[in-house]
Amino acid sequence: MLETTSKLFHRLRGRESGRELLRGTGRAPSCAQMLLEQIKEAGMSAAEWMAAADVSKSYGYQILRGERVPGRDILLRTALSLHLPLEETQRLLTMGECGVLYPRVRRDAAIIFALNQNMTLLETEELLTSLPERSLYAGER
Amino acid sequence: MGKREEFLRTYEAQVLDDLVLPPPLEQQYSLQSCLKDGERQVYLLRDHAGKPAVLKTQLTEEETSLRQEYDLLHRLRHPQLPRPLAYLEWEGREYLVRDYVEGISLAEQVEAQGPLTPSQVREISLSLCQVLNYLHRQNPPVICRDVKPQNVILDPPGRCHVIDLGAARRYRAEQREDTVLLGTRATAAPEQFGYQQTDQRSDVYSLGMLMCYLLSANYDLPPKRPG
Repeated sequence: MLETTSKLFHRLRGRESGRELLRGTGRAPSCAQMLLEQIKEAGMSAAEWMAAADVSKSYGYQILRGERVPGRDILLRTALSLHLPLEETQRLLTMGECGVLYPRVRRDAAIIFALNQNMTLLETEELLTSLPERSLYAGER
Repeated sequence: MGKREEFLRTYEAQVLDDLVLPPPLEQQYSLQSCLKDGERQVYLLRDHAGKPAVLKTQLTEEETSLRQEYDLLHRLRHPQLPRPLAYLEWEGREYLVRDYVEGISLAEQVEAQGPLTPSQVREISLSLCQVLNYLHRQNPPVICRDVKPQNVILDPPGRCHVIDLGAARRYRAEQREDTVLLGTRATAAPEQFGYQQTDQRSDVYSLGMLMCYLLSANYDLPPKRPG
């Protein structure tokens, strides 16, 4: 829930330092908020999202609480499992302070292709493997 | 037509067909994919035996020449530095071909996995120290000037490779400052902003910033503790 202006003002005047306040209201909640909205629009629960995007429960809940910012590949897995259109995917990546998908870079181009073709996460992973390009799970397995 | 073929056909027509390789390179390599775009473009090539290589290309009027990078790589020999394979100038562009280093960049590693463990950072730093030590022991010393997560590849056995010496320079004792200001803001030592000549310590500073990034996934230094 976004804080009202008066609440923010009160916190700034209080003992809590401005720096601490900024840290607490930094980027993560915005990405978390957008994720929550997208999951809700897809008619999924948080647990269903974590299963679909293959995110561990502990990490997933930290992301949704805004305590951790998800990596780019997790956001891409989310976009694919929620069948987000390209524009929403790019917005999600921007909110997560990750580079947007770039159509000239082949891996990104393949993911753009997959989003436009409404491919599943598994189909996209198979496409990446076949090219070959780095898996959406590289570094995690 | 399968999805793979459909994608490759589209990608080839929309991206790869934009770049025409100089005849000597076209005879030896085929373009596979664009790895990076901008003023300087980077492509993945394959030779006829299927062995991958990397092509860097830019307009000849760019501030830093690929020729300098090629000459430098040509003089150096280290298992953690890529070998240069070819250099050409053709129709207003420079082309530098070098070894492909298999692995994942440290930037991609952190993006995928999040912050690394202290033990992982220690091993990576030690591996980087080996190649930086080699560069700094050259006569005159070679200063990398762009030690950053995007320029370091971690190979499958866990060894670090510095893949981009485009900003590197040879240290000259008589020079007061760098002739060309290069580097990346987040990891650059203060002197890289023009205050004095960069030397080996500049790379050490950047290594420290890199370690900070690997441990925390950002470049914010921890607050100083009192006392």
